[in-house]
Amino acid sequence: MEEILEKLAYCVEFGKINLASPYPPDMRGQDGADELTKKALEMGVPPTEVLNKGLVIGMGKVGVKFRENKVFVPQVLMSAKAMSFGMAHLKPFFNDGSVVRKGKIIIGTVEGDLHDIGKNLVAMMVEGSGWEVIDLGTDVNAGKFVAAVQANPGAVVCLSALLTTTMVNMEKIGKAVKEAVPGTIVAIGGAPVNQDFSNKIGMDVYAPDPQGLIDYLGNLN
Amino acid sequence: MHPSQKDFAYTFDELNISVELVEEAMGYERGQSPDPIPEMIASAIDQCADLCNIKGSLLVSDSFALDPSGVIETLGVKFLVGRKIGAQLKHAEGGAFYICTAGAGIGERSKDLMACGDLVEGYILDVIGSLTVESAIDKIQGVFELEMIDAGKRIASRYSPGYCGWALKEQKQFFELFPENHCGIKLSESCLMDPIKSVSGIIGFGANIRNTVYECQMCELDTCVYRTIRLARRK
Repeated sequence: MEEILEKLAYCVEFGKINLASPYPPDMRGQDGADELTKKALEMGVPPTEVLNKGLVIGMGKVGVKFRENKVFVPQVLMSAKAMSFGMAHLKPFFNDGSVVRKGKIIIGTVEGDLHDIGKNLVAMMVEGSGWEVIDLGTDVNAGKFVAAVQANPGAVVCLSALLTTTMVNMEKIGKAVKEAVPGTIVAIGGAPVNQDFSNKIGMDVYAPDPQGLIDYLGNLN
Repeated sequence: MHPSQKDFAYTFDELNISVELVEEAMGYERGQSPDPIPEMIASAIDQCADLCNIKGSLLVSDSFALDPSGVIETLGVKFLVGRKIGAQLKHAEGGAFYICTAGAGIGERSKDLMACGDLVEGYILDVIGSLTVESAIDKIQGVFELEMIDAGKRIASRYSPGYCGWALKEQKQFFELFPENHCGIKLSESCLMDPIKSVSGIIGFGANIRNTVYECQMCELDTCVYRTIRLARRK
C-alpha cells in the first residue's frame, strides 16, 4: 500500500499524468497519477489516504521546490494536471462525504484585474494540499465575494491582484467580507502586495507564494 | 517640430523570439528547462505567426508641459504620470507616446488552452505573448532612438500606466491621443487594454535628458513578468 502511494506522490511531483504521457522521460511506459489513483482505490486503500499520503504529498513537494526556485511555473502546472487526473477518481468520495477535506477557500482576482495565471496556480496548489477551492474567477467585486462567503460559512477568502492599481480594491473587498461575515479570514497575494500592505489594510495574512498560503492554512487546522 | 504619428507592423518572425528567450522569461536558465518544456515552447512558437497581429503606433510631440506634480499636458490632453516618473522626465523637451499590441489571437488561444486543461501550453503562449509585445515595442523604441540621435537628442527609458505610480485610470486620458481603436486596442471599463497583450506608455526625449533609471529599477513589482522578460532581453 505504501509503495503505490509513494509512486503516486512521485507522479504528481514530476507531472506524470497517465500511462500515455511521455514525460518525464524516465517514466515512459509506466502508469501515471491517473492509473495509480484508480489502482490504489481498487486495492482498498482508503480514499483519504490516497489523497493525503499520495496526491497531497506530491503537490507539497512541488510547492516547496517552487518556493525555492528549483522548479518554475510550467513544472507546477504539469504537477497540477497530474494531480487533477488523480482527483477525478476521488470526486465520488468527496461528494458522498467519505473524504473530508481540510476546509474551504474562496479565491478570486479582485475587481478591475483580469489576470488569472497566478490565481489559478494558487487555487490548484491549495486544492492539491487537500482543501476545497471555490474559484470565483477574475474581476470579482465585493458583492460576489460576500455572497460566496455567506453561502460557505467558515471559508477562507483569498484575494489576488497583479497590478498596483487594482490591489487597492483588496481593502474594499476585504472590509466588505469582514463586515458581512465577521471573523472571516482574508488572505492576500500577488506581485504588487507585501506584508506591510496587508497590515495596512487590515487583512489576516499575506502569502508571498502558494506554499506560504498552504502553510498558513495548514496551521489553521 | 510638428506632432507626428507613425504606425508600425511586424511579423512574428521579425521579432526573433527563441526557445531560450522564452525559457528565461519563465525563470529557467537558457537551455536548462527540463523535457518536455523546450519541445512545447518550440511548438508554441511555430503557431505564433498565425496567432499574432503585431501593430504599434508612436505619436511624437514637443508641445509638452510637465508640472511638478507629474501632470503632462500635450496636444490638448492632460494626464497624471506622478512625481516619480515626472522626476525622470523633467529635462524632456517632448514625449513619444506609444501603444503596441501582439493582437487578440495569442491571448485568446492561451485562455482557451488553459480553460480546457492544457495548462502548460496556455501558460507558454501567455509568456510568448508578453515577450512579443515587449520585443515589438523595443523595436519601435530603437527606430525612434536613431531618429533622435540624428536630431542631436537622447531618449529616456519608457514608462507605462499601471507602474511606478502612474495610475491605470489615467489611461483614459492617455488614449485620447490616439484615434479610437487604433491598432485594434481599446480600453475596458477598468482601463485595462484589450487585447490583453498590449502595452502603452511614454518615452521622453531631449538634448539633456538622462536615461539612467530604467522603469523596472523604480518599480516594486519584484515578480513581474515584464521585469523578467526585460532582464532576459538585455542579456
